Amino acid sequence: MVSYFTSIAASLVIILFSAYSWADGHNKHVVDLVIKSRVVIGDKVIKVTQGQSIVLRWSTDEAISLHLHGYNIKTMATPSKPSSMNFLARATGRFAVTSHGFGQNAGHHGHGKSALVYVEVHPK
Amino acid sequence: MENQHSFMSKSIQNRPRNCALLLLATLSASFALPCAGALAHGFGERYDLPLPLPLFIKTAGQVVALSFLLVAVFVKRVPKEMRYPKVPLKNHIIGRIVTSGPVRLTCQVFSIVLFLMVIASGYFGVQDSTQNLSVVTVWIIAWVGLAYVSALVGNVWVLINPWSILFCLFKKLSPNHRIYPYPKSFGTWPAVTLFLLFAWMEIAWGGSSLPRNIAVAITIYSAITWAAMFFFGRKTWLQYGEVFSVVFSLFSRFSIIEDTNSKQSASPATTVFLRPPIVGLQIDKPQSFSMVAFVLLLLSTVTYDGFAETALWQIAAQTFSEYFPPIASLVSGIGMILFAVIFIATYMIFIAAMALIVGQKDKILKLAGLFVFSVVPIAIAYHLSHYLSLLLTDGQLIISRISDPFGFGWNLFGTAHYQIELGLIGAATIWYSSIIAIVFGHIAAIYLAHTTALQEFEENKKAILSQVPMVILMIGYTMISLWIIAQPIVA
Repeated sequence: MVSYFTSIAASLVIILFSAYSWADGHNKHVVDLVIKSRVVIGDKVIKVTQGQSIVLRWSTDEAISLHLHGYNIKTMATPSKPSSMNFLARATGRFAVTSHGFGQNAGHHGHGKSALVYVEVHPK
Repeated sequence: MENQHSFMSKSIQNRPRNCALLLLATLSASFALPCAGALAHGFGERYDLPLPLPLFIKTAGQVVALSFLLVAVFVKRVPKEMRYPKVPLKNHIIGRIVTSGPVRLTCQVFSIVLFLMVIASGYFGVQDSTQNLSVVTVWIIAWVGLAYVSALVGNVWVLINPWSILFCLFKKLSPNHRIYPYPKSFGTWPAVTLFLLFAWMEIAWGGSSLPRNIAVAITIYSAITWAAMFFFGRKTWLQYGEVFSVVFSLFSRFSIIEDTNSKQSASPATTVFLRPPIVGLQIDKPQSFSMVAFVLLLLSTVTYDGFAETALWQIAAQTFSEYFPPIASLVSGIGMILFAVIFIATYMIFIAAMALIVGQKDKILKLAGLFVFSVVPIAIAYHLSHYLSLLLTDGQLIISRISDPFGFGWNLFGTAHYQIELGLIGAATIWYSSIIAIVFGHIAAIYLAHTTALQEFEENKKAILSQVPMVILMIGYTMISLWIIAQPIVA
């Protein structure tokens, strides 16, 4: 009987511990990005590691429609309503974030001249 | 996670009904692009991570060290004759099956069906590169994929070339028409010209991802090909003018399958052999200067395709556009031509140096034609490493398009909703396969140049000395390949 409860307790501890370490390993990696005058301030290359859970938080001084290539995530950000892109970085590579229009044209199709930033997902 | 993968930065996402307007808009957009240098390959977007600096330095070091080691090793060996083991495919059941009539016929029928589907979907399908069969088939499966198969397996193009097959079928309508002698001075120049046009479409043209443009281009190319085949004979044109035959037969010299079939009537099983790789590039007769130009054009354009995505080129293109705004949209094309000219000039300078060393100043052209195939492995190595991720990632689009070639919402084989798996091939795999390809290509290049030298120059000492400029040239070409894959892609 004792061994029964011991094993249950031990299993519970193991499950909890693994859940904890899983959650720990999957802590969200948050990156704040600020767009001013159609340019991202600061580093233009965001380096993350494969397997991380990524949150790109966009704030902007002008309405903008954004597209993360490869993972193919699209979002709209406005000065009053910042936006975020959430994804699990499962695939390695270098992925551009481009704008699909600013201000009144935001949301219209077509691409900006060049990438706002690049997200580099490096292998573990 | 988003479940839809649209990886075409240039694609048009909507499905406008007015195709004519769309065509006009795309064409004007493609010509009015402020910085055409941003354009890269004809279709698809590469997500490659740059080769990490330590890997780059290590490989570069290996390339240089290996070059000297190889020269030292080759000094002792003098292979006077080109002999290598050949195993007829007919010796093995698999070989007999692969080369059997029904298998060949199936491949040919499949090729023709795909060829017609590409044209039809280009003309009548939804004008969106990710919705249409034509774009992915032409730029990725046929161009990139067949180059891989040609270089690694063998020249399947000989078997499945749709222009050749259809011409054979139609020839029966007019079996005894007059065939004009092909002017010798033309050499491989028709293929050089057509390849330049093709490379321009692939690399510098903004309209290459529009299905209708592809269908139009194929129609025009078919007309040229069939007319030339009609006048000069099918085989002649396949040898000198049909650009894909020239490219793939060149690449397949690197491969492990040799087809010595010169007569259609002979059974393929008796003429197809397995052989060691690379040896097919050993030649004892010099190639024409048009062939020299063709090989170097191949090397320079594929290298330029990668170079155009580096920050260095982007800055150069930007500067050019600022100084010459009227011809800013031509910057990609100019870059491509400039690359070709530089590559050819460099090659000729090093060949001239070799000619000086061996005391054959008047034989520069002959030496250029004799050594040019030794550059082919470097072109193949760069092609393999440059397009690996594109083929395996963007190439997956073919799985869904084969079920819905026109983008009309069909689901012929149940694969229409297949989503591209972005993580199919990891960065580390790409890095190491690229390095292996580039180092192996470099070794092959030096080996080829060296064996050619030993056969051509009587004195061993002369042969060794003649290789000094060649080794430097090979290191130079290889370093450019390596440097480009170590650069972050900015496009």
